[in-house]
Amino acid sequence: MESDKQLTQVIGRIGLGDRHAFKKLYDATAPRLLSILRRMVHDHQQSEDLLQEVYIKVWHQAGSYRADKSSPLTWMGSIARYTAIDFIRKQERQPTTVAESVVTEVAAPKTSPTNIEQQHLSNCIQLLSSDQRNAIIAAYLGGYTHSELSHRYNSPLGTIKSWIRRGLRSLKECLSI
Amino acid sequence: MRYDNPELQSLLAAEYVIGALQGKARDRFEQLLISSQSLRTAVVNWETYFSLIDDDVVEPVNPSSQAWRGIETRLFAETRQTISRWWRSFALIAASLLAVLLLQWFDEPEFEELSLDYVAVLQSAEQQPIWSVSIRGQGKQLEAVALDVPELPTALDYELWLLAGEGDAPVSLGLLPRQGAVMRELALITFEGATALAVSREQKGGSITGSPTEGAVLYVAKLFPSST
Repeated sequence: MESDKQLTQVIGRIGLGDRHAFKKLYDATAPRLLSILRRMVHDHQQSEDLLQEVYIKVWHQAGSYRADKSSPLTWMGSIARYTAIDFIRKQERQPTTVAESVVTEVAAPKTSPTNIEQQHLSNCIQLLSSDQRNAIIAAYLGGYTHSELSHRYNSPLGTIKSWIRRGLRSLKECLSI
Repeated sequence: MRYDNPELQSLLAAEYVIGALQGKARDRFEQLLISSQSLRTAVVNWETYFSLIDDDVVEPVNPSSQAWRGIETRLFAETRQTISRWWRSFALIAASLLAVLLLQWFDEPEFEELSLDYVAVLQSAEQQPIWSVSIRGQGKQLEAVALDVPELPTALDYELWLLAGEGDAPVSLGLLPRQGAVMRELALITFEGATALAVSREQKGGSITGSPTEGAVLYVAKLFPSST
């Protein structure tokens, strides 16, 4: 994976219409974005279709990318996630098709936090109640809707919304955002 | 208005980022994002933190070769059609170019007639030609003809850039005319490997950094060698 600085330069060139730079960015980042999309959409072919949409957006939006606002991977990851969220909402995905293994990945990370921000986030997430933590992480990583979460945790919709809202408020305070 | 409350903005931004904001509420939030800088900042703050979660759990998945081919087809097949339209409109542009060339010939006889190396037509998003640019004499001479240039405040200028090979910084080719034509001598500029021209909006007199201002690039056009 290229460094943030290298990716920023590559995106700058894409903003000027450089197709070689575009292919370079794709090669460096597509596996990560496809991973994010597959986790949310669960179907490989649909994920690859969405991956195409994501890079078409990247091509068109590269000229307005602001490196001082967010890192290249955060910017591209967000484009991927919002593309998947829009797709999921349109599809009205059935809760029964949702994989069960997503949330535990973050509740028990495979690796130790590698920097201060990760450590800070990890600490703040651990301060949440398990219901709040699971609901927020499932929504973020899996693209779960409120109703899917309601089905998943066998809890009323209002309870799910409350877990998420209160959990986010706690996270906000802890992270000082 | 409640949306002006920073606390509420941050919570709504967080719900938006994790996908918990749904339906009409999500649509309304996206509309507000367009006009609210503080809301956009709140979203980016949450995106930055939540993307750290991705770092923990992402397991890269290599896409199939069809995925890249699909992107190329969807993006650049359109470009090929655009080029086709460009050739159709070239006759019209060439006529205006010829007229200007004749005027230049009488007005500025010090410019010798040099062989044509490259041409490019910078177009709007609606495919309307804005400038035609020709490079002559093995890159020694540039001519830019204003065709239908959008209005620009007098405190600003349009600046032309050469996009050279990968890894090379854009090279300024000078300011573009708002009307009429300019012809100028170029020195020490290599066009070999160059693929495109770009136009940015700069302060009066051009970019002071030597590079296009970030976010100010307005138009990009392919540079066609005259032999093709």
